[in-house]
Amino acid sequence: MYNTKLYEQVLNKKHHSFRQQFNKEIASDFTNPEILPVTRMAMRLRDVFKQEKAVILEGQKIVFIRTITDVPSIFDEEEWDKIKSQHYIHELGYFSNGCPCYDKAISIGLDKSKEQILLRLEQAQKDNDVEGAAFLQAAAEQIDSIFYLTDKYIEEAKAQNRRDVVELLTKVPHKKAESFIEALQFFRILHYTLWAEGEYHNTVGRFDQYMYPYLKNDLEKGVLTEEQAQELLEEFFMSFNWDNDKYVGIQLGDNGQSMMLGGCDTEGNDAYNILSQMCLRASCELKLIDPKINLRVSKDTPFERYQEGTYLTKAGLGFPQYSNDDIVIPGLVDLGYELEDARNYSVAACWEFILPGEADIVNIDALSYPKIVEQAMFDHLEHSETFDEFMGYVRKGIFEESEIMLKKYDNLYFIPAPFYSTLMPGCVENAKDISLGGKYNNYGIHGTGIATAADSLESIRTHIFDKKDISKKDMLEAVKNDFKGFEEILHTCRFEDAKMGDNIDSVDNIASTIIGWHADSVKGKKNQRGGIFRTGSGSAMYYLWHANEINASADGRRKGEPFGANYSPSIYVKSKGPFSVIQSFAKPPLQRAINGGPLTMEFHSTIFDTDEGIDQVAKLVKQYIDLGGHQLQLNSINRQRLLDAQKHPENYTNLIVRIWGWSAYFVELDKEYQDHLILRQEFNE
Amino acid sequence: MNSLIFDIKEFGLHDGSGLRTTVFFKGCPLRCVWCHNPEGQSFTKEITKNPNKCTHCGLCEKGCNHKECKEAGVCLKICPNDNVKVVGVEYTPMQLAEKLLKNKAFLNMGGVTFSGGEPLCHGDFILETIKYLQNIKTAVETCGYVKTEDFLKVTDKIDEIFMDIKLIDDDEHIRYTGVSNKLILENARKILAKRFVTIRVPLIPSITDTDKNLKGIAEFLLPYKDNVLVELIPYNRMTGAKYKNLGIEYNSEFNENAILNKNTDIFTKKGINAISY
Repeated sequence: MYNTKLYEQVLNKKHHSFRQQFNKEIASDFTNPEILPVTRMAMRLRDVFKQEKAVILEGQKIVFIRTITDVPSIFDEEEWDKIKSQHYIHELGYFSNGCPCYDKAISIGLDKSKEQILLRLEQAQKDNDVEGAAFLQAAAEQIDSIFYLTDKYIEEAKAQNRRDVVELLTKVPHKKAESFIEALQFFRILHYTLWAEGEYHNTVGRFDQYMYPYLKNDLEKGVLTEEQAQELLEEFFMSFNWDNDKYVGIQLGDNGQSMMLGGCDTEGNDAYNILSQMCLRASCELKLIDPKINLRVSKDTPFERYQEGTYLTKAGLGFPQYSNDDIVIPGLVDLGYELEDARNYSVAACWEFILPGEADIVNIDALSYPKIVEQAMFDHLEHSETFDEFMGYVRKGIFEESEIMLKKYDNLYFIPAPFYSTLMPGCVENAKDISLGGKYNNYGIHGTGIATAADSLESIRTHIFDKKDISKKDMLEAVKNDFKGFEEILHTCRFEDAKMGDNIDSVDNIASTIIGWHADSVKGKKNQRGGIFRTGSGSAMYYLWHANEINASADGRRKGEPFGANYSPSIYVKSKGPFSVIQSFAKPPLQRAINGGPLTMEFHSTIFDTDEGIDQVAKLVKQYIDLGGHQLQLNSINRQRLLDAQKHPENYTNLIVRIWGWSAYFVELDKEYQDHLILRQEFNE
Repeated sequence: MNSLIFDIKEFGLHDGSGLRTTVFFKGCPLRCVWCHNPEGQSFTKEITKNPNKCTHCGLCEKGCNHKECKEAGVCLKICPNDNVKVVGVEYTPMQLAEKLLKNKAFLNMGGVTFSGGEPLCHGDFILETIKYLQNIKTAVETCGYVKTEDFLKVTDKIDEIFMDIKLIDDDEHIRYTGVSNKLILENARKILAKRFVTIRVPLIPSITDTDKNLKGIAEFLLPYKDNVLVELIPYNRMTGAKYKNLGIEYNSEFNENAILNKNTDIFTKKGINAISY
């Protein structure tokens, strides 16, 4: 059982009262353009840590809470504008969405890391490598800043008479961790520092792999019982939630603190262990948004593991997200990753498959499939004689758009990340900051609106070319006029035609073709950093943004209606049910969409009330994996979502609710049904 | 051989063991006053139109030339909200089996459940369908009101049986369901004598959920206690809304919000397994 007092603090956020504003008056000159940016990054971190207050809460065993969360930029507006005018800037400009090799430091200690940096610095100075030397100097200074802040925490621990904390921090992060608690505390300091340095979407990686030796050792030696270890782990999980309200991406919670569990080792052996299980349990018990749990599975995964995962889904957090080793590993190898590296894959902030220690930029852009279809319709439908001819224009559109997109990212600039770099293999050795690239420098391109595109093409084929019951002119007019005056076409296309999710080959095959063409369109292309491009089935926020860029579509989607999120049926489609959806979405060549993007399915929370229900959902998950799905995300729907569904029913067409002995689509229910459900849910809470 | 089916639902959770698809047949010999599937009562196609979702745009009443709309008297192919629909689709056993077999990989971990309406009114159709189902397991949810010979002939080919006993008193049975329970009880005796059956009692406030009725049912089941599980199924308080779509008035005649008497003890004290939801 976790420390309930601390848990309450996480929820009531009392620790926010320790927060303070960064005081520029007493800070160094870290915005001075005369000084190299990498050096300024070190100056700034030192300033931040100087102003940081050591906060140790009652009973807290794993310390470090941020009190300074408003770290200003090292660039003033003028300098940043200049940089932006000369470079492609990815999002905020900081290195993001990566997976550091925490174990690189935890297993040797930062004293040793610093020693290695200084040794390499001597060499760089001898070689007159000014930039390399500046980077190494900055990296060493970052470590000193960590020591500086650690000392502050030791002082505070002494003042509070917390000998355990004094002892712990006297050892780590200086020396290598030798016990579970030391490793967890070490991680906390590293992760804290990454955020403070400025990087974001700092993922946790394969935690159950690199942390397992420490736990195993403690359990074997009797240093910890399993129960004590669980308690520590749960406090550690809480630590991801102390500061996460300040780590906001597009929405609160979009913070990239994702953790990957399970999967295989570099030889391909099953690597799921007791720690993997303990992590699932911790997440289940705490019900906190971080860390976000991912679970690697394959056709050989025992059914019990799916059951364990489903118990977590029941908690209503939307975890775990499953990924399929049988598809992802070969997919990564096809893209040119070495097999051993591919076997070590983890996950970025959302779903993109990444390798620990690498510099891939997995969310650099997104291609809107429905926009390609729209363009092909407007430019070529009238003179296309056959559906195949028309599809040729869709293919051409994808290739042309890719060609234009792939040139956009030249002269990419990242703000240096000297501390982050110490956790990335090769950076110190090569005297090169990770912001300049790594072993792999591949760029990921999402593919949005696959169902809208496939459904639209299915309607075009059916009515324009096969049945010929809608004229080309009418279809174009209908789409351009948002179906005003074309209500019959709207009804036919929207409610009568086959949809992706219905498990009908004709439309599913169109989706397969598009996914394949997108992959083909980037094949063999190199980016300026020497990497390749990888396409995926994720949508991020583009399922809204891209949807607003086009008219109504030939599938009967009205203007302004969003696409399905990620790799999902169109949101207004009432699918036949989970069996059909799973089969539809397992058909496309997902090994070629290996930038990731999950099929997302929602279930009403009451389905999870019985062990039987848990079993049945677990069977569905297993089936998607066995059929060759690449990634899957399930939601147990809560009251908040139901309320939202009332306001925006169009976003929840596939929300399944359990009424009593029967299931229904929530939005199909009359308001009285809905109110009743919401009322009942409130009783349950 | 054709049958009308009003719904096919994937992932039915309380319709038998494992992953299931439930087939709802149209038509029922009973008229239970609490029926929560009114669209399953009539043996013919019907039109549904949810009055709450209708925007009164008038499009469906303008008149059209679609042949499928002729009998309906309203255009089924124009409502922008898909609110005007036919309930009931005709299938042949082969067509139904083909449709179900598309999910074979899932149904191998569970099966197909025949429900309704009253599925055993479509007994021959079910037997024919099973022939095509490639050994997928089956279940049936029945009210038991079919000729004994047919009842046994069909259930003989089905793996799991869920059967309702709603009211033990015949007069009350006639009053609230429209038919006598004699045939139902006779079928129950016959089948319970030879195999395991889940007996379901819908709990309707002050009608079926009385201790007297439950005791009577328990008494009836006592000789077969090793072959039975009793499930007390609470009244579905949302029943009323479905009627409006069919243009039927729903008069419950009882207090829908009354607390239900989920008295499983009446059964378990006699050594009959019983659960309630």
